[in-house]
Amino acid sequence: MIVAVASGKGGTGKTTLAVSLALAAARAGVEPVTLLDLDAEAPNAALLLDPVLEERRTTGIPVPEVDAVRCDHCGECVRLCRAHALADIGTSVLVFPDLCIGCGVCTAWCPQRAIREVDHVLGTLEAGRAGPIAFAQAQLDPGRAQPAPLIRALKAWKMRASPTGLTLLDAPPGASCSVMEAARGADHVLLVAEPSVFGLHDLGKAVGALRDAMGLDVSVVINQSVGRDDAILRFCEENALAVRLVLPFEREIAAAYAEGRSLLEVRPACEAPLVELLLQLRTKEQLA
Amino acid sequence: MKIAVASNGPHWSSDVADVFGRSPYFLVFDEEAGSAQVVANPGAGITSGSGVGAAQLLLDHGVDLLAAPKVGPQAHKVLSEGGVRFCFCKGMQARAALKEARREETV
Amino acid sequence: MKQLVVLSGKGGTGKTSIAAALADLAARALRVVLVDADADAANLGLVFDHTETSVRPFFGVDVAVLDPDLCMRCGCCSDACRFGAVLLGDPFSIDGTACEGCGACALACPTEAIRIEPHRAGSAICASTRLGPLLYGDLYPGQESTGKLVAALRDAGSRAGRETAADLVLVDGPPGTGCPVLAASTGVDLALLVTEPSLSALQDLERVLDTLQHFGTPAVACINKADLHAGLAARIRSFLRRRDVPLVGEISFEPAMRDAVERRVPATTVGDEVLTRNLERIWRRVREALAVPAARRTAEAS
Repeated sequence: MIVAVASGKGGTGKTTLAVSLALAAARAGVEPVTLLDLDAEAPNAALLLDPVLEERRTTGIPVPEVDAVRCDHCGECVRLCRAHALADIGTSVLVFPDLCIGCGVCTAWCPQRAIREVDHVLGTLEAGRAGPIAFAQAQLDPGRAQPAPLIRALKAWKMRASPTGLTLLDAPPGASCSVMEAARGADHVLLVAEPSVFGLHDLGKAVGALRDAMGLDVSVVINQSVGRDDAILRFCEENALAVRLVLPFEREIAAAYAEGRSLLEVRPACEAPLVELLLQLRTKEQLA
Repeated sequence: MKIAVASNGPHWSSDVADVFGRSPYFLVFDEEAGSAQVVANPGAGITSGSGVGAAQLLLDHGVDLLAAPKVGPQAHKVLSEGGVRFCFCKGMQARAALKEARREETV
Repeated sequence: MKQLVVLSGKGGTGKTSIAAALADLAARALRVVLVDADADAANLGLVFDHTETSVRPFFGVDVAVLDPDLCMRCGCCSDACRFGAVLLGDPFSIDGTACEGCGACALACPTEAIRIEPHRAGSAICASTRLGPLLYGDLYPGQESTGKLVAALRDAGSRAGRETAADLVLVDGPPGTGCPVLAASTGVDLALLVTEPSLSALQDLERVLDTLQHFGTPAVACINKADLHAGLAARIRSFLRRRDVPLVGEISFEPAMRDAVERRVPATTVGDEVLTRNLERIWRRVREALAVPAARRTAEAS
């Protein structure tokens, strides 16, 4: 079963929930349990899990390299490039790898066949274990702007569908294309929401992207509740969103997270409800 | 010599643009011909690659000197390797920027 | 006219709440324009009552559009597409959420059945608040190019600032460190980083600082929820000292900030004296760093 954990708003507790679900599942005997940290701009799950990382590889996109001898400066590549990653200054063609999206159009259509592709590194993928949990993360290099290719690459490398196991995808926050890329292929999406005015507003956007635009199965976990959840519960009911769990706001939990301790470490009593949540999702799958 | 001014509007009374790559227009003054041309920037609405696109546009129009606010590193590379000189102008009308650019050239 | 962007790196540090409070303080003596550059989660408009004055369509990345009547189902488009955006169903169609608008499919198609077209991805909205104009975006669910929308909002913000002869454009930036953050930060005079004492916030603070320093944008910082964890707060302070980022203030972890959000008002108006003083101190130091006057001169100097 593949479960993506996402949130419309940042700082709602998405990563701590994903890590706690992984730990709870492993303790309940689920095997194999995998956690992929797909927040490639700012991966934080390793702070909570403290994995031993044994494998490492760089990943990137193919970008053009122009053969100056074959190039006749017809300008076709510049005209065809929709990312403005090429400029012909008359004596040579400049390539801007940071703007390139790796589509291959210039290479395929150069009339002189003067372009070949070379690998442009965008970031690093790392994999290892945290006890019984298989872990992998992606980290975008500073100054690079595109997390989506890293998210795709990490999933291609380490995401395995398994009939008995559990894979958790810790998605980036928000509702944009990198979140969608992270959640693509998941059997279920858990949206972590804060029951505040901001949190509710952002939940709406995330539901729109993941359920309405992508057709994924989405349910909600309310985190940092202070007991005033009417508005968000009403929203979920009106939008046919199941609320799987409500977690209270506790300063102690926040302080523990601050120093790298997960929800489950600080509140071991959460283990049973977390396992129950996973069983609910598993049952939903079997009924479908 | 052809001088281009990055402009918010299609008139010499318009203000110099805020961001080179997203400049809606380039006003190109041809000293030899004594004429001026309004070039719309098709890339004015984009973020990614707007500087490179705008720089290529200027090269395609044979511009020798550009008056504009700060130019990003990628556009700067295209302009400097393409032989386009640069005069920093900000917070003034396009005609004042043209005057500034022509004055700097004769110094 | 000066431009300030408020960033955080990590989401949830209180960036928007603090930006709203600073906007409230600034607007008491200066003319301001507000830009909400967090197009994924535009929350600034939730704090300030506003009426829309204009809604402009926002066109995101161009997308491929396939005409099934011309399509021969040869599959050349799918072979050319590197993003898995061609769905080989009956009829063939394009997955708009995966398409990058590169045009590979259109070029490969032997019957010209595919066009690359501008695609409305949302709106750029101008509204008026008691503080001044507010620019924000509404991205349709699932759309890409928050960076492009942010750039459009920044341009509209600069224009509104010129038109109203504003002293300050205050930009509430997006979380993260990628392209939307870059688009929110270009051409600003100062970035205010709102952080909190947690390991993940420190990690993301470093990432966003690397990005800002890469582009030469000066930065100052404040610590929200400062008493949440004393040890980590100390680590953040020494990190900021090492990176030469002035610390302009600290705010303790109080229900007042949260209450202000619930009541949909800026935190400076809920009557918590300590909180208000701390926010005023932050504003004073940001103002000094920006070299913006304390108050607008009411008469033009002759």
